[in-house]
Amino acid sequence: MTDIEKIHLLMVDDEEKFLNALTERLKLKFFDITPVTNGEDAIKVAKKAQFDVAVVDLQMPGIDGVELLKIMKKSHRFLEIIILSGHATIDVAVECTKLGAFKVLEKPCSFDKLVETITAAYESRMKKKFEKDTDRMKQIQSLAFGQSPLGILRELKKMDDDQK
Amino acid sequence: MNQHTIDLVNKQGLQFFGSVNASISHELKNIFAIISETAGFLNDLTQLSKQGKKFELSVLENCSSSIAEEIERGFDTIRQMNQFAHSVDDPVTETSIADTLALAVKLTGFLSYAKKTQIETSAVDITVFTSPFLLQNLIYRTLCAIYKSVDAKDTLNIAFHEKNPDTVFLTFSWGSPCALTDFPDRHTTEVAEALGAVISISDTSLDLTVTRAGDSLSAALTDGKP
Repeated sequence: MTDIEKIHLLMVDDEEKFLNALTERLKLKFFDITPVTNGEDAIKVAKKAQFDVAVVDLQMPGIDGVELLKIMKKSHRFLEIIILSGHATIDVAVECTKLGAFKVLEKPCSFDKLVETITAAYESRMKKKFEKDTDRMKQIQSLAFGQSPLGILRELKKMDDDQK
Repeated sequence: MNQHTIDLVNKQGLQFFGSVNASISHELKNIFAIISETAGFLNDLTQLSKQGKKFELSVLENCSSSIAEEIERGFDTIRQMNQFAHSVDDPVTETSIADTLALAVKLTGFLSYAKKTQIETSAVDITVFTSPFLLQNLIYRTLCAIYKSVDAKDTLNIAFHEKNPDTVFLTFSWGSPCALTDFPDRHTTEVAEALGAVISISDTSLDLTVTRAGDSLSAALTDGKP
């Protein structure tokens, strides 16, 4: 698997040993992983690099999992977020799902199930992105008819602004 | 203490017992998760080794020491769980302030918002004749309120001394001034009243004055029976 094909994964957990052990295992499964131990660092790295999927712990000091989920979904619309928590109650699962989480998994979670969920989240992201790109292509094609070059540029700028 | 207060305290006690057990189970889940992933990683390495891939022996050493450390952490957590469970053995008894504080700090340490905490170790231990479970409840609630309010980088210092033969003085102090949010709340006030404890707060400290001989508490909790 080449670097381009690897799933770019952001792992956020304040349990450093858990984070390290899981990172090592996922690396062997050809994931490209960026591990961070808190929500603040997660926001910083997500501004610099593009991630496909984030696996986020629920209870962390500072910005917790729910808050991070809200922030990340707002600024990275196609990023799929999996919540991994030792406090995975039904209420938490409902709240996180409403906020846009791809799935809520209970810790400890079987490694195979985690890999399966990350892969499914990646596929969901690609599908949503493809649909969005297809819509955009259709919009661009429709613009090409009956517009001056300057008019086309104006409409493209408007489209980009709408997607921010 | 009237029946209404006893009922309230019992109800709160059950809630407290539940919330502490929830945080202990969360801690144990974390420990199991680390052991599970580290053991899984060892298994992955074994499979790779069978395929002829080589890796540093230090990787194996790190894994085994990590598992051993987590097992020790698990034993330590279970010891605290056991100590906490035994705090309901006697409704009122001679209770060590140093032990109660140490356990409360450990139990609140499982919470994600816990802050660095130091208990003054030079102080001679003091015992009070009180309800160990309610005292644990009051100190736990106090610590939670302080942790939620103080700056993330702040350190909490705890000291205690005998104010006079009848009362013990516990001081919780922190560096950066801050107001404790909604504290003491109604439940904490009821527990403090039941213990005959007084809470006074400034923006850098909280003082807890505890009665040494809780005779009225003893009578209320044991129905006056010896």
